[in-house]
Amino acid sequence: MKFRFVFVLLIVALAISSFSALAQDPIEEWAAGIKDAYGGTEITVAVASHPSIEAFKTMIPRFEELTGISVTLDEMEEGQLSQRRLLEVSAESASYDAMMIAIEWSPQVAQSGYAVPLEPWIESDITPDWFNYEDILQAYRDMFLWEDGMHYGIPFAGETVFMFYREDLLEEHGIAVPTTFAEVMEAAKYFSENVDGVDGISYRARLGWEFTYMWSIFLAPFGGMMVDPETGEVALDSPGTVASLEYVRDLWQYGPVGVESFSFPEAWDAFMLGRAAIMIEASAAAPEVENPDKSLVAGMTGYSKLPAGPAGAYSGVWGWSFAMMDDSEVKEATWAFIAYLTSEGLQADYLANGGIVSRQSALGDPDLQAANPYYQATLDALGQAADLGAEGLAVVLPSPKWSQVSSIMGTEGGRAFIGEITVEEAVASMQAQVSEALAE
Amino acid sequence: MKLGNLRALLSSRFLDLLTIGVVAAFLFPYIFMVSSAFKTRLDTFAYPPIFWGFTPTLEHFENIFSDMNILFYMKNSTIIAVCSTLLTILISIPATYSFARFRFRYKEGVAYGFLFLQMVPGISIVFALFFIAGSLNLSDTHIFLIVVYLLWNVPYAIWMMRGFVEGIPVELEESAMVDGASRFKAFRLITLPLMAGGIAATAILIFIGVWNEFSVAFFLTSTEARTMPTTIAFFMTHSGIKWGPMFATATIGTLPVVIFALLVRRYFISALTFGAVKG
Amino acid sequence: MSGNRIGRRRRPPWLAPALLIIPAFLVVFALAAYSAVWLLQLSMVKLTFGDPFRTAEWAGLENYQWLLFNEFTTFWASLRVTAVYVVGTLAPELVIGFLIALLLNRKMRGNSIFTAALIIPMVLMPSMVGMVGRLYFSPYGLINYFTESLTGIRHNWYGADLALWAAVLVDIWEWTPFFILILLAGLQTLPVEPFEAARVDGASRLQSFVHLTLPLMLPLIMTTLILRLMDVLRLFDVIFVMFGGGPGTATTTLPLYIYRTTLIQRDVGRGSAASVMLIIIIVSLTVLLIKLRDRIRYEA
Repeated sequence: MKFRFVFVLLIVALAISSFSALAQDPIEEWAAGIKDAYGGTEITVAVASHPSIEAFKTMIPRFEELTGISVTLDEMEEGQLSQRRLLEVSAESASYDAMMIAIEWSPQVAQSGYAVPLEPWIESDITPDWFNYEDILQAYRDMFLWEDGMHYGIPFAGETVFMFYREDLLEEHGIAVPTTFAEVMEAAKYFSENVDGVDGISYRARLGWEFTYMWSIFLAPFGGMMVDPETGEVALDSPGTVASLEYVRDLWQYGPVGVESFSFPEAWDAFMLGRAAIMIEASAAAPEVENPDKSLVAGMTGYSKLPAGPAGAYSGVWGWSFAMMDDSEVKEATWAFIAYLTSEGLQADYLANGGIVSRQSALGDPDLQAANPYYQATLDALGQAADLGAEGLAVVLPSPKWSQVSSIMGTEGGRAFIGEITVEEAVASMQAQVSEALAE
Repeated sequence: MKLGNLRALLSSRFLDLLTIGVVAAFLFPYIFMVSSAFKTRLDTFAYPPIFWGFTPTLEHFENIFSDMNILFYMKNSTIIAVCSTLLTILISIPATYSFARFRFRYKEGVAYGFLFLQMVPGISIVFALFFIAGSLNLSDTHIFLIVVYLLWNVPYAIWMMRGFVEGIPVELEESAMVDGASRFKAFRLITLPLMAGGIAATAILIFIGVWNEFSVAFFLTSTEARTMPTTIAFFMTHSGIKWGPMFATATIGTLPVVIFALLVRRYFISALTFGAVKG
Repeated sequence: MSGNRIGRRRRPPWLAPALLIIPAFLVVFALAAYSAVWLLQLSMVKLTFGDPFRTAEWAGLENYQWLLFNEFTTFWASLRVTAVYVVGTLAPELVIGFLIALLLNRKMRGNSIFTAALIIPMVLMPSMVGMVGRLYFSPYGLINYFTESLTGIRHNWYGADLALWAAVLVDIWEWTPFFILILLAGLQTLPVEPFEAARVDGASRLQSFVHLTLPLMLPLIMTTLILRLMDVLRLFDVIFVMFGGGPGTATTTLPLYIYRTTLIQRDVGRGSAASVMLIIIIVSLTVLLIKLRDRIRYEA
């Protein structure tokens, strides 16, 4: 009898433990199913060098072990990846199963049919419960929305622009955190004129996409726009556009020497080495600013959403996603890979290894907010970006012609910035050239 | 008179020092670059710059060998530079011989034709080449770069080596032929050994040129055939410019060529000057 | 053509040289012709970089017309930048190079080590040199440290006024040794007699330099200039890495203009048209200079 009782107990204990093992690890449970169906599949993914990819690299071995799918990452520099994509689209053949896609490239891969719409896949049985698509910030999800109402990428690294400022300096000089661009100008003026070795404000203004990136942030707050959302006409010669370009140009005198050739690394370095009091830059700079190996101002920096201009306060979104190629013959395994890495279930792993945050659940988490002082500013700035979207505007024109438009704006704007031509000449030239490019 | 001697001595001392100073000025940026490969990031950015006394670090070298896999790009560069140089020399020797030893109509015209093609800037045809590579299914391959470089290297080699061959007395060959040797045999036994120095010098210049070439390689390769000089793009990352690994790569990428050029400096200088003095 | 054409065994005299040249000719001219056909074709179409070639539309000479006459074109600005860059590099390189060659052309211990050391800047990867230049010329970089120590002023090398000159200085550093080494070799092969005769006649060192050294060296100087001119006109990597053509159009030389138009604005047609013009400029300038040099040499 006793023996039998022990035996039953043992069975129950075993059952409970195995059940709880299943219950506790839905990831392994899901992976087992995937392994049965798609184990042994090989997939190749093209990626750019990016902190999030570094995080994925630490997560992929477990994915391979659990699912039996083997993954080859073809890692290259961003420009190279862009070129690769252009090459493949023009050759009309894909040699990858999935590719890391930036917001700027999304219209082209969608329009050309190079990538597939992801809605059917998000709703498919392959997608695990712990993926939680809706948890990814909407502003990020909609970066990859195309005219057909479908999404062409699963975002994993989002980026917005907010204001960085030196808490110690502002306090020491009794200057309040600026909430309008007029106050930013004043504060920048104060620091560049009164404090030795510290310039007012740092940002990127290098000729080309860098200039466009920076300037696009200032457009809407001054009432400017690239394309009028109501008429669909190019509106680069509007008074608001002129005002924003003039503001950016005037801010220049309080920036670090050489800001006209600064790409983002130089802009960040100026702030990180303590040579600028304020910086208006990408959220991606924040982890660097807080890294004491690279930054002299870690722990001394405050973050806030962007100040308001005469026409309101707006920011923008950029970001990276995984897209799945139409030519892929192993879409199921590829989708399993994308869903696994970008899921909410593995988010803790992802963030712990340096991945860039893109989910509401993380940005809103009080513990994470305390550990990452810029999370609140990120959320606020994303709210500002959503406001911009609500106006029908964006910092990246959702058009396959964006790279031409960006190049024209960056070139002409950059020339006006340094006074090679006047602001009026620049916007006239932009208006004409962008209209021509978009008309084709 | 004594005073004059002293003045002459002083002025020659002064000129000696000036020479040393000038040469040092040309060397200094390179030495500073190599030293920066051993500095931490914050040391690199220090102002005033740190010239010595910093604690050297090897982390950047570890980084480029383990994370960036620099050996892969070195391998690509080596394959492309060696193959293209060998192929160039192989194709150019007969043509050189023909230009130097035969008389035929339109000779100088053809020679100048080669020279003009050599002037075509890489950047101006690289996008045409990009489409050509696509249409031949040869994008991002070693072989395409090797062949494309021939366009510049073969005319250059012919022009350089022609001077060397013309400097070898034709009588040597003729006397061998009088002794019954065929023209080819006379060339192989007499002229070829004598022009070996010229071939070596030409090959060195071509190798260095291909090893360093940027604009064509940058736009025609992506993952498979990427060469060393074009890896600079990897240091422009989302978290800033990786200066340390950049300096380390620049050190690794330039060191072989610098050592090579110094070892064969006699040939190098003779090749450089020979072309100019003859041309 | 001796007219001796009896018998099949007798080969025509042009056959051997032609056969020997054919491999080189085929490779080079085939490559060139193939590229030229593509380039000309691309310069006469409207095509967005990244779209399949079948989407190209015939545009005739429109692209050339746009480059030369459109009110928004920066082609002329880039020609001006190119001209400044060419003169700005070649003139100092020649003068400094000549002076240093004279300095090295004395009996002195360690001369061979010095000439060897001068090789180094020339053989470095230009792309890496450009990257290093970007850091050295930054506002708080090495160059400004020296200018500040010497003159108390930190210059803005990243600004529109000086950016091109920063690139010029990099080129001077890299390529003055080229002039030094070639001119030094020239100086060492100058004939001795005229100089001795001049000394007997009581000519000063300066006089013999002006009346003997310079004229005797002139053809070699011209040749060196021609060689460098071809290189400077097509220089892309250093400027691309340092400034990418900016700020404004301050460093947009013609090769940078081609790059920006083709790859950034993705206008293959206009980029190719600019490429054709760059080729025309390089070839015609070089031909002109070679003619000039040959005339000088003939007169001498």
